Amino acid sequence: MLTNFFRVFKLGWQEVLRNIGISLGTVFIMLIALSLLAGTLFLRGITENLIGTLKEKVDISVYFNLSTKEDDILKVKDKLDNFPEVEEVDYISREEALKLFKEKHKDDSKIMEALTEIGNNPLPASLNLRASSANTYAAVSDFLKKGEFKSSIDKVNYKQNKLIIEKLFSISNLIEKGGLGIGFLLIFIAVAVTFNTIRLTIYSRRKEIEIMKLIGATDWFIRGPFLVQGIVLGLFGGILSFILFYGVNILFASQGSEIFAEIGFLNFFEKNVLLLLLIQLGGGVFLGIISSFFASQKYLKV
Amino acid sequence: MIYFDNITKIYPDNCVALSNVTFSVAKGEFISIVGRSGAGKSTLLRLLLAEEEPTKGNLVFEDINITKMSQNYLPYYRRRIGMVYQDYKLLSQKTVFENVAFALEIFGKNDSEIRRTVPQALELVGILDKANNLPGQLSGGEQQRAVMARAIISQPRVLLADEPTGDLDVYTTKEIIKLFLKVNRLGTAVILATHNREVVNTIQKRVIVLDRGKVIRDEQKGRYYL
Repeated sequence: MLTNFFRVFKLGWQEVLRNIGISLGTVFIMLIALSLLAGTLFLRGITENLIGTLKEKVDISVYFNLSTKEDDILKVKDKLDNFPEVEEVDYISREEALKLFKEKHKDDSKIMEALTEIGNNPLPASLNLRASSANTYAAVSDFLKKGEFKSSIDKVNYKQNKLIIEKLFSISNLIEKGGLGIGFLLIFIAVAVTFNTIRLTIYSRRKEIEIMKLIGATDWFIRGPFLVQGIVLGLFGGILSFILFYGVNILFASQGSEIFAEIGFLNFFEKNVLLLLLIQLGGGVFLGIISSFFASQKYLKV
Repeated sequence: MIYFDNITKIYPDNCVALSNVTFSVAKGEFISIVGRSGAGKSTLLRLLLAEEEPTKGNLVFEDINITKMSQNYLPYYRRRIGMVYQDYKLLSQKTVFENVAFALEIFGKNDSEIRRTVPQALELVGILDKANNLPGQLSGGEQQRAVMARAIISQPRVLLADEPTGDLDVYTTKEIIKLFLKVNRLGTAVILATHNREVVNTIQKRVIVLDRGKVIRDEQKGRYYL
């Protein structure tokens, strides 16, 4: 039994080597299909991760009355800095606010004209807070509106990165749909190519198969090598696809690491490296088995 | 050992290959099946090898009724039979040794047994010195010996031969026939299908004559005449 198993495996491996050109082509198609599919899944994971992080974060803006002194604002800033959930507080003075406003609208002549007409600076000073949790808003808002500074505060605003999240969703949705669509198309092509490769092998070995049958080889013994061939091709496709992912990951890690660290790219890769390996190897083997099963079913006539 | 019980084989286009053929083969017997081309000799052997099913009748090999055998058992059944062909059916990219070893590999024999028994079989058929040659480097007679080595290596109960000397010259034919007789003396039954008058007349054993699918003669020490 074991002897037979090794023999079948050896025969299958020989088929891969004997038609090395076709084998490489098949592996390449497998590689592309698996990479695209795994890439889409990977991207989906990353966006979900990213959106999750963004949802947690809130920006809070505190606007002060025009008459509020800078010293008082800085006092508020110090107090806010002591809040545990507050990550960062930026002070934007009235002058800076004006500068930013002018910068933003420099191409819009009407707004610029209106600004000149007003004469003085209409913009309030503000504090911009970034907090790590959405609940922080209530605490900060309570503190400001009920505390000693309530007289100098004009209004407290917050936004939940809603725009960015929505944009991310729509982009990732598009990529996901496109990726999955093309991915499945490529999977189909990969199966067809592998199917054809196995078919060619069966054809080139038809004499041998005929003799095997006449001598008394079992169906399993005849079919086994072709299944092995399919599995080996799929396995190599999976391994190469994984290596490709690993390489891209290392490339990203060495360059522009800050951006990718920010969105949790590397983290995500490391966390899911085993799952990714499993998907790619398992996917490759699955494709190989499916293709060779149908090819041998159709052309072996055992 | 083998019973052809009222076997009829009709091919789809209503061509009757065999009609009501009945005979039996005893253990260790040597039978020549003769007749013109198209008389049904090859069909007879194909039925025995279960490549085709008879249209009517029963075909029994020892304890197995081949007509009722399950498909799963077919490979194991075939291992009881050695087959020799006119066109040899050797694998051209394998050496003589590998061609013979191939059969044992299929039967799941381990490598040490293969290394031990293949040279014995090649020795028996007299081409041990050609073990590492490819079939293309051998003469027709030598190729036929290689096929015989492959056929007998599993120690089958019966050796079937379909025109084994069809492509060979007179001298080589005699050598091959001697080899069949030798295998037969060692205990294997032989069923030899041929239209070669010389061959049949030198063997001097049982002859069954087929004509248009019917057994027209079955003689213990037969000669080939029509």
